[in-house]
Amino acid sequence: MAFTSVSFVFLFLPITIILYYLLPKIAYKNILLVILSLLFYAWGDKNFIYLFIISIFVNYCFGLLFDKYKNKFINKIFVFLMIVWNFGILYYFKYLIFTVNSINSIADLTLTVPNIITPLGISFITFRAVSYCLDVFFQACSASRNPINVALYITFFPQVIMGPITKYYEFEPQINKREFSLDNFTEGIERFIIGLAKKILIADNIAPMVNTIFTMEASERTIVLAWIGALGYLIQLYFDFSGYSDMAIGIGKMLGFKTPENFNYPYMSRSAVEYWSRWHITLGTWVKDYIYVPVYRAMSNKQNIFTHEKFSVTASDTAALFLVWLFIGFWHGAGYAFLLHGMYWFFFIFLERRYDAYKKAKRKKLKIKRQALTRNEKILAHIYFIIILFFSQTLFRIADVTEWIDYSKNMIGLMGAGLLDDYAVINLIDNLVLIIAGIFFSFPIGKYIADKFKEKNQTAFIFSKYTVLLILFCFSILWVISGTNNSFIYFQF
Amino acid sequence: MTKSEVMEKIKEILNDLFDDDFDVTESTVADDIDGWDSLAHLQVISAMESGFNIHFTLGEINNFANVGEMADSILKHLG
Repeated sequence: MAFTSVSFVFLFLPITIILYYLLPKIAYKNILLVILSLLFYAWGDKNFIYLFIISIFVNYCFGLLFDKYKNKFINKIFVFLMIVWNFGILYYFKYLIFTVNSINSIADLTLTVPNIITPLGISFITFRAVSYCLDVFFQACSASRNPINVALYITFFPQVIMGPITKYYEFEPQINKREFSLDNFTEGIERFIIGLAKKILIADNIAPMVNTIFTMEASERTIVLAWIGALGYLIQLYFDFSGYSDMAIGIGKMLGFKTPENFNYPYMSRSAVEYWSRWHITLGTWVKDYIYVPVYRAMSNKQNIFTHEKFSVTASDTAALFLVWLFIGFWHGAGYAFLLHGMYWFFFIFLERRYDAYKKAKRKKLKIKRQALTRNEKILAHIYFIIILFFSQTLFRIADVTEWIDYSKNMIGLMGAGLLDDYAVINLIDNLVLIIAGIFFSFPIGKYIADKFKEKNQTAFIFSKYTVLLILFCFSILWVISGTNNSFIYFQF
Repeated sequence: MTKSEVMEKIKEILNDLFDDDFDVTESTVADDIDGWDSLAHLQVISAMESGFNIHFTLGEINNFANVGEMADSILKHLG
């Protein structure tokens, strides 16, 4: 069940909230949330509900084992088994077909390709299950004796399908203590409406243009059209995914939960490193906590077998970063295009980190302090970032290396389709309002204006805010009822 | 070791690592020191571990709100 469906907005969510607030104790509320979360999941994918429940129970048991055998060698065996269990399930459902196809094409065999349907949200579920186990293993939290707590964390319906990926150590303090207030509740509703409008009014409306441009014959795509398509996709992806995150954060707030932010105006970035601290933030912090830091620490404490010296900071950092990006690449999908997408970002982040280290060393040598970028440097840095972003996200959209090369040729004018044609002009004019709105709301200009307005006249601000929210809600619902909305892009992960 | 001795040694390690002479108090946070980013944080952790001959758990290292909390954790490890 999508957050943008009529059944969710007018049935599931109101019933959940009423029942939730009718129950007197937090322990009962937790049980209710587990039941409703499982129902929510089963509504979308009833075939895998049993596997989901078994998996929660297995991870609950792993948690108890990690706690019992704290600091003992056997825990390392248990953690290995835990990883095999969780990533084994993920591998089976998401990557087995790709593996068989690859073996067939490389070794020229005809192995039967299994017919496997990927369960809804399996990648996000795996992340949550592993976060629970590793937080107990790394002693950031203790294991929960109550299986309901583990089930609540893993199944929590606002986040189960597409995140944000709250880590267990962030979620655990909220299991038995949450802040219920009217302010929180209304903020939650506001956030939900904003998310709904982002998805329905912007992402879904720009989607038809994006689909047309990306699926047309490459030889007919002019340079301007290719860039309009790429820009449209950047807008679609951001408003789709951040809209979903806003709704998840909003529902969490209505129920008294704090959810970490997933986006912070990512397109404002001036580097690949900055972008990944602003885009899908909870994925970034997950890989940092559970892959980057453990790998970095393991490496930097080990000796190089050739030099018998400890691995340098640079070597440990690079190895950990490489593994992180290999993982993110594969996590996004089974295919060479996603692997290339991961390696693409690794390459730029690696370059930026080395350049930063070089500048740091130079400053140290000359004994000068870090200086802020000049205006021109900021503009140049932004242009550099926007170019790498455009080429990366077209690869993400197309998910096929050969077709992406063709699209890139379109963008730089190597396809011979010309600079501009009537079709590009028509697309631009038809979608101009959406493109302008998309760019405008991708930067904190609206927020700046709203803050100024609020400072000047609080009453008028509040009146206008609720009027705008009401209009956005009504328009979004009209669109939903008319049945033109698409499913969320990240549902496939 | 007392807490003030631990703080003194932390200051020494940080000054040495960042090659600068700055004051460190219990309320010092990473943002106060030029160059203390997430990568440098891991170097800080390694330097503390070898300096005090202790080993932090992975659960601990992300949870220090300031230098004071790190000092408390070091004291706990020193027993």
